[in-house]
Amino acid sequence: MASSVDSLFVKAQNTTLPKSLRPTSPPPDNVPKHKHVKDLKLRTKLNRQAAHAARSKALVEDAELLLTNEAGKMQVETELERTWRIGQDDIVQSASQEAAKGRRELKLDGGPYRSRYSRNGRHLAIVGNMGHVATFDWQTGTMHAELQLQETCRDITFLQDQSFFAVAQKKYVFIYDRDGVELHRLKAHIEPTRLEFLPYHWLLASVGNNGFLKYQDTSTGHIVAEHRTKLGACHTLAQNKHNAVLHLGHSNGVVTLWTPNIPHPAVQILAHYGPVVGLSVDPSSGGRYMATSGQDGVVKVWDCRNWKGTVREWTTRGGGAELEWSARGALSVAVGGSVNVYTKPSIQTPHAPKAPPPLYLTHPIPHRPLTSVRFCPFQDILTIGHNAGLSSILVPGVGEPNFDSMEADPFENKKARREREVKGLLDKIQPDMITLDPDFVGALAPPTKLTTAVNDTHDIPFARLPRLERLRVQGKADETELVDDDDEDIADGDADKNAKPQSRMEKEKRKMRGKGKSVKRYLRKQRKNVIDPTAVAIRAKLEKQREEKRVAKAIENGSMEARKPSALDRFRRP
Amino acid sequence: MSEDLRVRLIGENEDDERMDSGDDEEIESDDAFDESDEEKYGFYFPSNDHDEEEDALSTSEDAPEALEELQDFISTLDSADDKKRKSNDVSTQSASKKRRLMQERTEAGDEGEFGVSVRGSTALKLDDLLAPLASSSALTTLKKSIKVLTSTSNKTKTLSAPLPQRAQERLDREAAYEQTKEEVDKWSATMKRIKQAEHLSFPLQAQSEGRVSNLELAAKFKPSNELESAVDNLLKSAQLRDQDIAGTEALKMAHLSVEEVAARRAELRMMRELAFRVDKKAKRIAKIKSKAYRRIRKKQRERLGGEEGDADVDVEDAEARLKAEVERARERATLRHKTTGKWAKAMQGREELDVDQRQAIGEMLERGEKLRRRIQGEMSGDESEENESDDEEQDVETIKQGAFEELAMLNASDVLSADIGSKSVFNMKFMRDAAERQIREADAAADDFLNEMGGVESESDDDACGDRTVTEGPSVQRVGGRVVYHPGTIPYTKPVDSHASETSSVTLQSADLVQDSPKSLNSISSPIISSPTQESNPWLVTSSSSGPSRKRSEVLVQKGSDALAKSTNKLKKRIAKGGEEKERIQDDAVLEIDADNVLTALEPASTPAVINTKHKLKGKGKEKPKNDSVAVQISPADADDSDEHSEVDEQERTLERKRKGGKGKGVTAFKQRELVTLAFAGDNVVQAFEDLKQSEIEADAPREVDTTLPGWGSWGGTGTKKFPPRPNLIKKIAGVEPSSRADYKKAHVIISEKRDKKAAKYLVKELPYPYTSHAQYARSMDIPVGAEWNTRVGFQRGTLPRVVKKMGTVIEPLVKAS
Repeated sequence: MASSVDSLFVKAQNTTLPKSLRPTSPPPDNVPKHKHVKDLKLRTKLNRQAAHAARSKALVEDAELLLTNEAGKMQVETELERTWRIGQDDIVQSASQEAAKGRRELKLDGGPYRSRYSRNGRHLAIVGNMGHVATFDWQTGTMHAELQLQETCRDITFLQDQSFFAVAQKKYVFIYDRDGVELHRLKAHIEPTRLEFLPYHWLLASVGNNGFLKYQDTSTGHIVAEHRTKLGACHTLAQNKHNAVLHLGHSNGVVTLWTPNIPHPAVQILAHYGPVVGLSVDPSSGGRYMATSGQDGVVKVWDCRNWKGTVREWTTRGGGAELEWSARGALSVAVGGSVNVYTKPSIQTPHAPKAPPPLYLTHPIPHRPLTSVRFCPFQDILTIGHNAGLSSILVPGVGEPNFDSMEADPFENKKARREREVKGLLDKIQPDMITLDPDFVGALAPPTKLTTAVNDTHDIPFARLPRLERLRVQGKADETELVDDDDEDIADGDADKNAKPQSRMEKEKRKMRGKGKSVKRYLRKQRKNVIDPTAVAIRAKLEKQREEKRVAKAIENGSMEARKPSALDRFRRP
Repeated sequence: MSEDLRVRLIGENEDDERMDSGDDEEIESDDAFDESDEEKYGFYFPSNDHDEEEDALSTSEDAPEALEELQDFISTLDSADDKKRKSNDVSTQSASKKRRLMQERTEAGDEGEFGVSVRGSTALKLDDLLAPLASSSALTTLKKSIKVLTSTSNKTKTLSAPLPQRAQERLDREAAYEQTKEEVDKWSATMKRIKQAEHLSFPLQAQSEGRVSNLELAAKFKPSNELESAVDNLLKSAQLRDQDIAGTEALKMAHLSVEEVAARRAELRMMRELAFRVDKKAKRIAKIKSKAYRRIRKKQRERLGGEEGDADVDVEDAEARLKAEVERARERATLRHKTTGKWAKAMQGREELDVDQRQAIGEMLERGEKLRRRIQGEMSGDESEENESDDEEQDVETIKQGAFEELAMLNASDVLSADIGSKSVFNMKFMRDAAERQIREADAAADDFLNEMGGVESESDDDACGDRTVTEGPSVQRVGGRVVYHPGTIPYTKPVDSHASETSSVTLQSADLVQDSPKSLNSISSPIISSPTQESNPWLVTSSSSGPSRKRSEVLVQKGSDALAKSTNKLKKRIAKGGEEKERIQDDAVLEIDADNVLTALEPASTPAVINTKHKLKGKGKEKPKNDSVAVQISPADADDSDEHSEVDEQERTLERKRKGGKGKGVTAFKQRELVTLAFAGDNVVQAFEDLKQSEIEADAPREVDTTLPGWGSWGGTGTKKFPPRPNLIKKIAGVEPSSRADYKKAHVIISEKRDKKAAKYLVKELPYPYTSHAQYARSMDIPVGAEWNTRVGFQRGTLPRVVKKMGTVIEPLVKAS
């Protein structure tokens, strides 16, 4: 029989993974084994999940080998050298010819300029305060559109790609196509000052002089949300690329965080004592750091996870600063007559004195005011908009060197652009999925914080408790590992409270329906006033077993001595 | 059992023994003898029929219970018959047992003295009596019906009553269940495996894929069209099909004797020999070579190692020998290697042999051959041992000599067996060319060997190989139309050393050893000599002492460092150029404000000069006593907005300040910035924010609302007593405790605690089934699934469904393997 079973095994061989997916190496050592889980099925499942997680992580780490491009960075050779002493001329000379093309000066009339790069860093849109709008491929130098709108223009942004752009004009927001043909006048956005486009949600957000934040879905055209900030005209808007939350800076020094879902700010921070001028969120660290600058010239770096306070703050000279984080976490501060760039480790480490972090690079610009700073994606280029046009400078090591062509491809052709547009529409995320925590989808709902004032002990029947609570009551919940949240501790406290000894009736009440030993059920069903010999016998037997168990336990505890066998035992009735 | 035994004993030597009367009394002969016994010992009882009658009687009134037996026993005791027997017993105690038995048993037969003679012949059986009726069918049916009765023992001659139906069915079911369970249990392992499998792809049992072999195709082949059938017919007529060929071969081989088989084999071997001669030669040369080397090596080792290992070698030899003996004994034990064996002789005598036998003969021949070779090999081994024992005194030269001789012999034998088989494939031109090439290669190998040995020798002894040929320069050979260039063998020349000549008989290795030692000595000693010079190198020392002392650039503003101050000569020079003018300008721009005077005025944000106590400096203690009045310094760069290099200048100034160690200036700079901050501050922003937060907290907090309507359920008007609100009318509104808020104790931030209803639909309200803790579930959701966050393999593995089924395939049930 054994042999037949073996051969059977050989025959039913398609019960394993396909050969191509089978792991080639044993799983890493630190994979949890879940030995404390008694349920074999669950344990197997958890083990498989853990192994898969470890494997896929290792695979991703392996794949990072393919990111061959390195971000260059200026480094000092001796202690006396300073990277900020190196001027643009030196950098241009030492840079390669192609990279040196990034250094440009656009001398334009028409007031201070603002600029915006498309997501793949290939196209640039500029807008002058007096109404000069242009979009072009800056690498090839081909102009897509150039408009003279003849009215005040405050901001510009590309939509999903270079084929559309929105301009915040004097009264409304207008959408133009690539060739500069006006497509839409968004009348809902009144006197807009700043624009942001959320690429994964296809939302165009604007904030204006009336203090309204409006979200418009550019794929359907509907207004998704209109939030009244109640804080007056707003001139500062930034998006957190990690979770698509919009950050607004107000004139009373408060920074507010908004999602389309809730009509009030999710978070309000008193960042400055004066108006907030500049605002930017670090894309390199998953939206963890936010930089703000006030009219008083103070620049602050905040930790967005717990809002415990500023990580770093210092004072610049020359008034309010425009801020922008690069993809690799360099912070550019355009203030007064110069642009300063600070790099990552020092800018994010807490530092008590209000001293500026070590400067990485600085570049003077004679044309005040400096109205916008933008890093070019996948390039080491910083574009500064100022009164006399735009200047692009080279900042080595701030751009992401490796691009993901599925995400944003600088070299995509017409067909690829179309494909990506369609795919982007299919993958569009609903606007109500924007929250502070972007990983919340599918997560277990956190226990509510709501409490009533006096009587806290709800008497929820067992059957109506949530499953986790039921497991806790039954003692089946796995309490060995806790999610390190504050909420979890509270839940733990509840569990302790529930762990108080229960009466037998209570236990009976909390028993899962449909479960139970047959003997006990039988006994339960027997009426107490009916004396049935079988029931009596079973009761006696159970009693005896219980007694034996008790004795065994007592012996084990040492409170009772085991009975020694005596010679008279042979006369005992079994 | 014992009774049986005894009876048999009695029966066997009935003449000598007597039976005890007591014994006899106790034994009921009917009981003691079974039916089978009866058959065995039937001839003791001439009247079997009577016996059977009695049996039938006893069983008819059968009572299995002991009591009834006892009664029976008593009744038999009482019967007259028994009494009579008893009296007989008593009277004829001295008589032989035979007679007594006869008396006892035979009632129907004649009890004369001639009755004894019946015993001599075979026992009379019922069948004998019924023999004339054998042809009648009635008898056969009767026999059949009786068969059951005759075959079973006394007690179960009647069939017992069947069990009640229910009980019977239950038993049947149990048995059937057992059977089915066993059958099903065979599958349990498989089912377990399927249940636990991570992935199933149906059909579970893969089709036997793989290509069909040619043989398989040929076996299945049936001529379908005309041509094929025609060819098949032809083949059949010529008897050239596979099975025919096998048949003819078998026919031919059937008559072969052992000698003919041997001849055939020899012929085959010759062919093989012709084909692989050169290979063999090359192998042989290699062997000779390695043997010679080995021997030389051994010599050397012996010389170096001395005599300490001898005893161990002996022991090992003995053990190995023992082992070999055992092996040989085993070989012998098979007895199939000789024609002298019984089996072999028998085989030889036979004319036609089947396949197995032929094979066996072949095997036998092979075995014999092998054994012979082994014997020879052992002999040669012995020879070599002898040789080696001789070699104890011999030199390396003799070893080499032997090797050369062997080579020469090989060559000679080659010449002898030059051309055999004039009409074979081997005589074709290309074959000959190839053979020639091979021969040449083998010869070259031999020559190489010769040269090498000679080369080694050249130092020690020149005479040893006179016949070796040393070629210099590239050798050109022409083989089969193509010119082949070999690099010429370069004569082995070693740098002549004084040690080598001393130890002429010492072989390569030892010479190397000796040569190497001085070199190694040199190499060790050289650094020792050179080291003091290195240490005394002044350049290195200075450079190492003034190594770059790294420090964090974070402390840029905090304190001046001496190391930095020392090394900023260059910077100084540069600044010194325009230093004086700058200083003058700075002096002009210095604005002195008496801080103590100003501190009393507390109107925030009124003038830039006002300093609020709230925003007082933290680093107050660091101020030097001389700075009684805090000087707010407005540097030229600050004043002049149009300065292009403002940041660079600022940084440079910071460096300079640090170099000077002027702390006071840094402090003053802070002061000035505080002023700027205040200048731009809004009105009461902090207070407004605190109020906002407070109101938010209160709005969120749990509270109670008294819903009593005045005048309802109570008396109103003046002079009525005010009752406390009734608890059932107090409405409790759930809320968030201020202490459990996320922004608890964070004054500068308000985090909304209101529930995000729209996002709540994306949350899971209950812990999903298999998981027993939040952490388990969270971890399962942690792994991103999409292709954007995974590699291709990781993505495929993560999204592989548990069951995969190929479209359109029929899923057959599992089949147990045969």
